[in-house]
Amino acid sequence: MTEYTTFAKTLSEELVIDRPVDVVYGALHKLADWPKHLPHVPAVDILYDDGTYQEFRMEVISEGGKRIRVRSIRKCNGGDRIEFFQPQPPVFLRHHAGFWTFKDQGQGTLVGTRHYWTVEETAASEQFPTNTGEHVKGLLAEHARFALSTWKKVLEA
Amino acid sequence: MNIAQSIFIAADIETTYAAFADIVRWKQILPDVLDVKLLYDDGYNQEFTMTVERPQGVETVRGVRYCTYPFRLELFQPEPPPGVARMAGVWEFTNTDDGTVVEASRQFTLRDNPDLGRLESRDLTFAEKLRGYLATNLEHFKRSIETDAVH
Repeated sequence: MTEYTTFAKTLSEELVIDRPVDVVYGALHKLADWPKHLPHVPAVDILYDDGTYQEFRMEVISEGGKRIRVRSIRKCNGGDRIEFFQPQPPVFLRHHAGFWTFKDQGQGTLVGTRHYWTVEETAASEQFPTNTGEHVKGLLAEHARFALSTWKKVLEA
Repeated sequence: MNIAQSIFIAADIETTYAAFADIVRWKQILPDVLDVKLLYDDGYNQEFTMTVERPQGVETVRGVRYCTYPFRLELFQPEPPPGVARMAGVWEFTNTDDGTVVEASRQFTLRDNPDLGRLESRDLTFAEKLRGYLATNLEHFKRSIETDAVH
């Protein structure tokens, strides 16, 4: 994989969702339905969607009740991979990108999420004065695990 | 609708790819590009705006590219030109013994407009115009890259 070689940091998380691949992929692909499924995403504003390429703004309720709006651009291959990046990542990040993967496991789907990032050093140090790198990684890992566990809960219900 | 244009450039694949990948440099290479703003670039994902001069006036498009060194630049336009609903494509770079073949392919869908006539004839007219722009741009890149390669 040559596409992410410029990134300094990466993490990955995965779990199995007991639903078929097409159902899981379809749920993550269909942005318009996210507010129906995800309690922490009250709104999604789709700016562009041709089925393969998507651009959207989503409102997210973070821990502590703060509402943030994030713009993302995605490339969807129709079956087992959705790539994403945030053209305007959180202030403590210079770059943030990654992808979801969906692998058939018989009755279920192994869903993986991989994140790549580079830190915006000054802003990150101000926000996380000690153990800056670990704090940033911890925050992104927590976000990744929360997204996976939420989708598992929603799709297995 | 799908179209494609290709050209041979007498330069190695890395140099050729680099010229196309450096979107800000397009302003020096293509005479009709008035401005380029690089909004995001992480080495793989790029977002930019490009302002070009067209016979019907100045147009600004916003594009996104996926850069796979040194073989492929995949693109789409979340804000395509006026009259266009979808514009996507690929620049592909193939190594040969003495240079690089660059193929530009595009897939486009025009916005429906009954006042402007049947969609099929408009598709063909637009495709011809787009092929012309691609062919001209490829020639400009060839000239620029081969001139740089000599000096």
